[in-house]
Amino acid sequence: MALADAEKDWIRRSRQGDAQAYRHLVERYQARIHRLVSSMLGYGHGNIEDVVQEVFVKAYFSLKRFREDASFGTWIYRIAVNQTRDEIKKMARNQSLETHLSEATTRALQDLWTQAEDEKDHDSSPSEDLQQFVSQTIAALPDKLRAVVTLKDIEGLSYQEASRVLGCSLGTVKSRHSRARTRLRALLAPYLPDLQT
Amino acid sequence: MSREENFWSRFFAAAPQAQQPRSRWPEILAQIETETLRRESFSAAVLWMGRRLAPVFVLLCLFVGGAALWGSDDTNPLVSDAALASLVDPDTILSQWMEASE
Repeated sequence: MALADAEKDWIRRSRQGDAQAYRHLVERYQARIHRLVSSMLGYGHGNIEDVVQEVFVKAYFSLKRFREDASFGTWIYRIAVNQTRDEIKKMARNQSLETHLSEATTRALQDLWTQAEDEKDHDSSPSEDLQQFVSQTIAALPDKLRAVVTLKDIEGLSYQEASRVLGCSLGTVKSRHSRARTRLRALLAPYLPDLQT
Repeated sequence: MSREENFWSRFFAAAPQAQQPRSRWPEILAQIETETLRRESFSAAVLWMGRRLAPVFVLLCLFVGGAALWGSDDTNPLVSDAALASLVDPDTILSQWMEASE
């Protein structure tokens, strides 16, 4: 049985209350949902696991409303984005960006800019400090912009797919993505003045 | 790809890779079972209340409706005393009219 057919079968059986069929869906999507939630909440956030769990429980009880002609992936991403945004609202305020970057992280960031001159891939894996900085930079965005950046730039979805997940128009997604880029440029400006131009 | 787009693609690729999460299935299943039980007991409670309260509601409607019909007999102008009298004795109405017209 093809994976898409198997997935439809799991959905149909889950709707009839077959919890074991739902297990297959959880195992298929858990890593992706985990990555999405981590990216939106910030990788060090303590509630990532709880949010992921809540997403799957909500999805289980909403399966009756799922249209079979739709994509289950898009549908569950949408639940995950909404659940994560609820969690973000509970947080007192957006995380602030570390203003004093270490010399090594600043250099690593500048190296990224230098390497961007050519299309060649550089194999060096990013340092932990740089990873943390990227995570903090994303987390410093307002939640609507953060959702678009996560879906488009981290998860690799197209504008069209992101608009379906977020339930807003294609134009809105493009506009938010553009605003997110403007904000990111401003956040990185102290370390990469060339990026602003 | 422009230099900036190239930079952003490298920048986001430097985001921490989420570690392969351990399966949350046992916790998810437990939560689904708890929630299912809670929903079922709520539905059962609503059904029980419905069954208990429906006869009471019907009786209440009958009582209120009956009382309203009973009370309306005194105030309905179609069955006023004069109309009843005219049915019993039409001459009374005629004589009253004659007196009034004089």
